[in-house]
Amino acid sequence: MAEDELKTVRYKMTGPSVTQRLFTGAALLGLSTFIVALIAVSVGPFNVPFSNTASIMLDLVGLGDSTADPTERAIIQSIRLPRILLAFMVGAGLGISGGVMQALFRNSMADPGIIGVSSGGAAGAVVVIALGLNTVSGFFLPLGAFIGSMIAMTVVFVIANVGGRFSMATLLLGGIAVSSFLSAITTAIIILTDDLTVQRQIIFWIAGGVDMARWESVQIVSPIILVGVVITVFAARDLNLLLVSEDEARSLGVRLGLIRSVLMILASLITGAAVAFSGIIAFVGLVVPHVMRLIVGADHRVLLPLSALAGGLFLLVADTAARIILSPAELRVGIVTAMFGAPFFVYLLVKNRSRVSML
Amino acid sequence: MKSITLESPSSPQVGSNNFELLRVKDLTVSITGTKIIDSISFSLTRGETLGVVGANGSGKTTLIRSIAGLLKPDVGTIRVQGVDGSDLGHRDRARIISYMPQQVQSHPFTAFEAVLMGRYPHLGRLQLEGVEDREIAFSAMRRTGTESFADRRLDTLSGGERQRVVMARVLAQQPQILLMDEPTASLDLEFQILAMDLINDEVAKRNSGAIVILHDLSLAARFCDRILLMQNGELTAKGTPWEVLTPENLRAAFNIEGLVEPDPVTGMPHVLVLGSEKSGSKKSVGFGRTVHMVCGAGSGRQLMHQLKVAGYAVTAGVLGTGDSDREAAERLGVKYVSAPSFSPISESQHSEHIELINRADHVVLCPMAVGMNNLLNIHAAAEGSSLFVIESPDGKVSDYTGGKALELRRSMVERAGSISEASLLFELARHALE
Amino acid sequence: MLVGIKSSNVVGFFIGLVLLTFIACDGSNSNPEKTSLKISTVTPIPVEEVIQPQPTPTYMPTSTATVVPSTSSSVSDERASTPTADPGPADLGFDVNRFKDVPGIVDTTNFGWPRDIETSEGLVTLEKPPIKVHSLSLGHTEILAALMDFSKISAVYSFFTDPEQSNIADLAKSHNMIGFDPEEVVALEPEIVIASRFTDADNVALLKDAGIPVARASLENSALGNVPNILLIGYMVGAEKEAVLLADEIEDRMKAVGDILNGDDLPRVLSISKFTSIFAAGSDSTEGGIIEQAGGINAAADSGIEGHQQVTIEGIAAINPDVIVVPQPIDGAHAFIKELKSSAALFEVPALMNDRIYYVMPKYHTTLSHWNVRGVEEMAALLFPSDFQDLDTNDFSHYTP
Repeated sequence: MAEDELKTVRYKMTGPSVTQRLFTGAALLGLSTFIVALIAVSVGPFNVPFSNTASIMLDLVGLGDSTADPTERAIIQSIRLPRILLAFMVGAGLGISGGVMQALFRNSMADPGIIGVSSGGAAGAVVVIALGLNTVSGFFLPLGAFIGSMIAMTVVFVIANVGGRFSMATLLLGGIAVSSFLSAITTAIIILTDDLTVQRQIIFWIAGGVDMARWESVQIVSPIILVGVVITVFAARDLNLLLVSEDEARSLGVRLGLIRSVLMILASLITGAAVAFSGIIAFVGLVVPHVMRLIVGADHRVLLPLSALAGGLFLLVADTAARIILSPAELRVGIVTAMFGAPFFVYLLVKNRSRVSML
Repeated sequence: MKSITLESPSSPQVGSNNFELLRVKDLTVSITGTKIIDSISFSLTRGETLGVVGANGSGKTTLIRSIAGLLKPDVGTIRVQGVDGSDLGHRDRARIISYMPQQVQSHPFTAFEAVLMGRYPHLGRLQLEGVEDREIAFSAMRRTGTESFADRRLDTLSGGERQRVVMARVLAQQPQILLMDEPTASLDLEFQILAMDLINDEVAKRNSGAIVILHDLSLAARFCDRILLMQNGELTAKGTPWEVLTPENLRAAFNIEGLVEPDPVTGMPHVLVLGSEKSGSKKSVGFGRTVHMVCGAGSGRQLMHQLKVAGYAVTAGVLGTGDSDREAAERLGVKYVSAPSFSPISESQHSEHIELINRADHVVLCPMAVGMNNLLNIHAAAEGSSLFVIESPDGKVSDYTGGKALELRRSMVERAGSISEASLLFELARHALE
Repeated sequence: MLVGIKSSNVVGFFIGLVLLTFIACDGSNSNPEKTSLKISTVTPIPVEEVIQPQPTPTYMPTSTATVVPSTSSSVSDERASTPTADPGPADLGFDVNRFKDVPGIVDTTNFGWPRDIETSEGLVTLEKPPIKVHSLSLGHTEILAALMDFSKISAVYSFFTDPEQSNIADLAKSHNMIGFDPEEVVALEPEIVIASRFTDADNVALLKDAGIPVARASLENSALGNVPNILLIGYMVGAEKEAVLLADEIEDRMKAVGDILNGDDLPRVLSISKFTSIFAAGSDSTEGGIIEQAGGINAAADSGIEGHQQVTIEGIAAINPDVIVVPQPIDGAHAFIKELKSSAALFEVPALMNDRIYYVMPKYHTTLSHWNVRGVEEMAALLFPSDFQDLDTNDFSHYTP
């Protein structure tokens, strides 16, 4: 009896276990995502009656036989579904890599592009557009962006390892330097090109969006982001220790250099893949992990998977809003994330003033 | 600590004949090319709490960071339970050695989460903490008195509270070797004692060992079985607190004047820091008071230092050239009456001496050897109104005057009593306060 | 803190990029002059609209009379009374009455020199026919090219030479070319600078501070609406006769189109281009104006799209147009048309079912000048092929002495 009482007291003080928090959070976010995805697949400028949407969806998963109009079917199957999936994947990738970067840099102002990946992606995309390769094949643009991201990341890593001694400060400053340099290249190409259409395309690409989603994009992005999420979750405990202090992490058995490099590269890969197919959507990776930390705490074994889910959900909601607010026209999703996400973020910050920290 | 309801699980099974937990041999460590510690050797046995003391920058932190595996030695070996430290895997090491850093950084985890992290080395990569781990962590929190803020984020806690949380984490890690860098730095007085008690308790219970860096020398003396004294990266003394904490060692390692006395409660050395030669505080009771020393041949050197740093004006009487007390007087700027060596004190020197004695508030007679040449000094000392006779450490005073000096001294002891060298400053202070 | 600075970089970079583009393309680039300045759509507007986000405060974009008529000042009264010219209509070789209601001309009876014009940038007195004229927009340069010798135009910008965007590419190619720095304009010492409503106010102020006379002239989405603007420019440069001829040609050709249109069957036409994303031309767009003048309904405007906004394939399906036109450079246009034709979601859209999806030359459709008349004729021929098969759709001619 006394022992039971003590256990209750202890539980109250120490809160639910990692498993409980993870499963509760995942269930709630998963359910919300499912509902939002159902809404997202049912709405759009083209009016598809809900019964038809439902029958097409059932048909797609092998239940029933839809007799819906082929246009409606094409809109659901080839336009809305890949877009929903891409938005979710990109959001999930940005959410988790933002969380990883914030832990690695011990700073909640870090975003997924902190070591130059986004600027590299932009520069890569700009080069592809300036060379006109994107009119040859639609996949040259994401390919160029991804290559740009990876080159930027590699250069920053080489800088941070100069002299054989890895330094986080050099990594950060190198990231800033490389970002600025690449932004200058991007700007120079925009200014120096005589071709107005090139300028237009670059600016639209940089503004970010998932409007050009195709099944092929989903097929390429998903494995990168899913593998990244899984490996990151494996290393979540090490990130916890890293956030406490480098010395304590090492003294508790973390192979600091290895873990840090692997996670940094992984987060950059995820970001690179996301940027390649959606341009630069800056707000998600910065804010989602921050908000989730306020809600579920800092334990990365809970925080990272839930940040991925929440990032996916957030971008899905934002993209759905972007599709329907001005229907049949649409907004850039980056505008929606900032216009609706920022006030919500400020509200959370004010409400949780006492718990907001720089990590 | 408060009542301990949950026992720590019993210590891991280690061969009972293996008393030596850690052996450090010829350890030399450099940081960015600068040699920080140089050829240090010592060992840690089971059940032992080893204190490390030394001035700032003497290499204490570097020493225990090297043992924790955070720094790579240039030369030397660290054997952990008979195994070379460089052969230990990261996680194996973390199960044997725990490290508590000096600076406790703020982070967004709750206290309980932070303590639970001590269990990570004992879990598989994807394994989550089980009920047992949570029990161990919670028990560690109770032992450190941190359970009342288990659910608070570390960045909302005070420095001392954070330090206790980290200590709880170290306990939850259930290590064989506890490395602690100033674990009491931010703690209030009660928790300083409780924390040290806890470390000794843990070491005894689990038959493990602890290496603790401490700045409070009395705390080190009281709670550590042995003490390592470090100076400029070298190990200048090691041994029991009585062996290591001597005024000479304190002066050499810390540049301070200290009194080392048995603590009236524990009987362990109690270190009273008087001050540094550079200080000379006006707040001291000695300020404005003059003490005259009748000494010679090094018998008053130590007291001269101590009186000087305690703020007293010091004079000394008749000292021959080449006398070691005379050298000390020169160095400390003590006014004294001088005489040529190996010649009797002249009339004029004696009267000059009497004059100094009359001007002094107190006169101290040291247990120096007395011969015919300096017999007048004893006579002069007898003129002093407030006289203190210092006992000889070995109880003997050399007399080469055929008993005259001893007799004089005995009469003076009858009149004024005698005290130990170490208690002189207390006595003087009491006088001043009266 | 450092990180803080960095993380705002991406956003800052983007903002900076757009700003830089404003500066870079600056006053000179009002290339395909559009009516609408959609602030609400931050991204989806084609570059040239972004370039000039702020018309001067005194300028009223909705008014057709874009040049602020002079309020009678003592100076202009005095000028008006000076008998510099006693214009008998027959003497001058053009119909002076054409200039009667042209806003911006201070004294519509004065066809001698000096002459005054007053626009929202203030009063400018021209002592003699200018031989160094600078235009900050492609549209005005195209108009100037029809009114006077091209050598009197002080300089051109690089994109004037793009044969897909510009109707004066051949003339511009061999001409003095300058960059986007306003200082280069000052260095040219033009006698008059013609700004458009897309020209940045700061830029104009800079030129005026440097002592360069600036006149701000209008550019309209409707071909006929541009006539007063053409007459004002003609008056400004002393090419009244050429301006009247051009005005007459515009009116004749538009009348010819109007005469053929019967106004019964109005097809819904969607003008879209793809620049990474797809953009539709809604209400208040050059392309939309052309569609309407050619007897169609701008389907995008009809669906509530204002200015240029981003749409998706699904949006196109929802708009459901009878005809689709793609006014963008030919490489991108062909790839885009191919993509549209292969989109299953569009198979039932009439434009695709009836194979009525056309590439059109951007220089007729996206640049505001009299060349839009050519766009209207072309569009009308696409929309009503049988009605317009006999219509001549010649290019406008440049000035010849």
